[in-house]
This record gives sequence, C-alpha cells and structure tokens, in this order.
Amino acid sequence: MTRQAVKVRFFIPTLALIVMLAAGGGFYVSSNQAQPAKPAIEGLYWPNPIRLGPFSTLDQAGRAFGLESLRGKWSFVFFGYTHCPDICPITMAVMADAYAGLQDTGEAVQTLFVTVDPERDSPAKLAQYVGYFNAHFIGLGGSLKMINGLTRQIGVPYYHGKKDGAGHYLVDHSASIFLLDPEGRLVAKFSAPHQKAQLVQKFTQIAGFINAQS
Amino acid sequence: MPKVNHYLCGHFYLTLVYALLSSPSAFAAEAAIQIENAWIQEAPPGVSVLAAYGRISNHSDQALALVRASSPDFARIEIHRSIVKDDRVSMEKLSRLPIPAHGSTALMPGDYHLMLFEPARRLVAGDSVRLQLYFDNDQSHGATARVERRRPHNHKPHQHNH
Repeated sequence: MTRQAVKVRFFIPTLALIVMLAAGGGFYVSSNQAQPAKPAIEGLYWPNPIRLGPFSTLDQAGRAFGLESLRGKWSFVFFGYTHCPDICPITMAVMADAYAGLQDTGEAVQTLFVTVDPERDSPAKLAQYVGYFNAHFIGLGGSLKMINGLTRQIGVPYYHGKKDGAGHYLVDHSASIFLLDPEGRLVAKFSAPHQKAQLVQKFTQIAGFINAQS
Repeated sequence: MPKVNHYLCGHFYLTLVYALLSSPSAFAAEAAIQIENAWIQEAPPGVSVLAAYGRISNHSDQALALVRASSPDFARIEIHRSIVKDDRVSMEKLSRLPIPAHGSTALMPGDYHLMLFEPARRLVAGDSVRLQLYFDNDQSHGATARVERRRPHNHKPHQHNH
C-alpha cells in the first residue's frame, strides 16, 4: 500500500467521524435552546434555503426588478403566462383572495407573477393582467434570458410547445407558488391546488419561525 | 313579498308542465344531450384566451363525445384538459371529450374546459355568450354561457356516471 493510499484510508473515516460529532453536537446545542420548532409544512426549505443570486427582469412598468427588489419583503412568486386560461387565473385569484390576509399578518408581502412567455407578455400586457387581480401585484418579464435568471435559480422548468397554424402555442410551467424571504432566500414551495386559508396559515407559521431564527 | 314569489313559482311550474305536455316529442328528441350551467371565467383585459365550463349530460343509451365547438364571440374553440402532475401544469388538446351513456362529464377549473380563442369583444361578468357544441352522433346543441367572475373552489377532477 502506498503512502498516499494509507493517508486516504485514514482520512475518510476520520472526516466522517468529525462530521458526525459536529452534527451530533449541533443537534444537542440546538435542542437545548428555546427556539420555536420547525413548522411541519411540506415544501419548507429549511434548514437549507436557497439564497438567490443577482438576476435582472423588468416589471410591468418596464422598470428593472432584480435581487435588491426582494429585500425587506416576503415575496410570493408564481410562474405562468397570460395565454393560460385555466390554471393561471385560478392561481392568481387565490393569491388575490389571500392578499388581504397576508397583509394582516403585519409582514411586508409582495406578489410576483413571472411570465414564462415574455415574447407575448409585454410589460403593458402584464400590467393589465396583474392589475386585474390586485393593483399591488407585480408582473415580471422582459425576455426569456431575463426570466431564466430567476427560473433557473428557483428551479422551475418550463416548456414552450409547438406553434399551431394560427401561431398559438402552449407553455408547460410550474403549478407551485414559491415563497422568498426578506433576505432573498427561497424558503418554501406551496404545491397546487392552492387555497387562500392554507396559504395565509402556512405563511404565518413560516414567517414566525424564520423571524425567530435571526 | 312572499305571496308574489309563491305566485311566480307556481306560474313557472305550470308553464313548465304545460310546455312538457304540449310538446312531448320535441322534449324527447332534445333530451339525449343536456348542457347545464355553462359559464365562462371573466378574464383580465387584453387576454385573448378564455375558458368555458359546465356540465354535459347524455341521457341516451349510446356513449357520445363532444368533438367540436364554435361561438360567434370567438375566432375558434378547442377542447382541452389541464393536467397538474408533479407540480407541473400542462394542457392537453383533446380531439374528443367522452360523455358516457346515461352519464355526464363536467368541465371545470383545473380539468376539462373549452379553450376560447380571440374574443370578438371584451366580455365581462353578466354577459352572455352563445356556444354551439357538436357531437360525434352528428348532432349539435346550442347553449348560452354566462360570463362570471367566480372565486376558485377546491375542485377535484372527476367524471359522473349515473
């Protein structure tokens, strides 16, 4: 056995032991602190939220909307497109219904509709669309490249179907609503079907928990 | 004004009974297919694709299928189904929507729907839209869909068979 191999043979178990001790110690410390328990919510990315990096999109007024626009507010994010007549309006209506309840929690909350079809969904079109559901809703688009900066970080694939004879096409997209915290971290994914009361209740729990961590 | 209401209800039923008795053949011929509660979700301004829902019942012994639809208020109509699987939404275009014999098929949010392309006018809650539905037995049926601004419920996809 070479010297190098011996080193590796001892190094890996030693490293594993250190990791186990550290994890065990961490658990012991954390279990002895009076921290609120992690809410039993499916889709909560805790303790490993995804910290978003810079991205650049345009809002419905054509203004830049990037990472810094997430700071200081909880963001509910849904990815859809305005040529989607069924699931998108349902989801937007639920978010519109939930909006007052979310505001009542006392937290600063913003709702983002990100188009996965920026070629057809111009900022002007997004303005009409999101404004119909709630005057405070924000519509994000720009170009495919711009929205990819967000979809790739959040991990939401979308797929543009083939154009039919009339030039129409469908887009497969995510049915989930994503929650970003005021530090720009992806902290939760809510799966469809969405309901107003559940959204508000889950948010209240999650916000309470994460606020207590800092 | 309960008295007036009762009077109106009674009058309504009398008229209905009279209509049924006076034209039994016409009633039997049209009863094979029944379209109920047709409605269209009001859409935000500028939106060029809307959805229509409702229930189609088939009172005959033969399974039928909806194969086509048209409306003077839309450039074209397609039959679609929304599918949510693994948090992913896709829409599937259908060439036929089966309506079982002595059963019905519901078109509802998150499931089967008619996809309505390019409205000829801006449709708002309270408007009425004429739809013509074509079936694979070479029959077609008219229906009036009301434009509504409905709040979402927790619909579950299912098919009714009676």
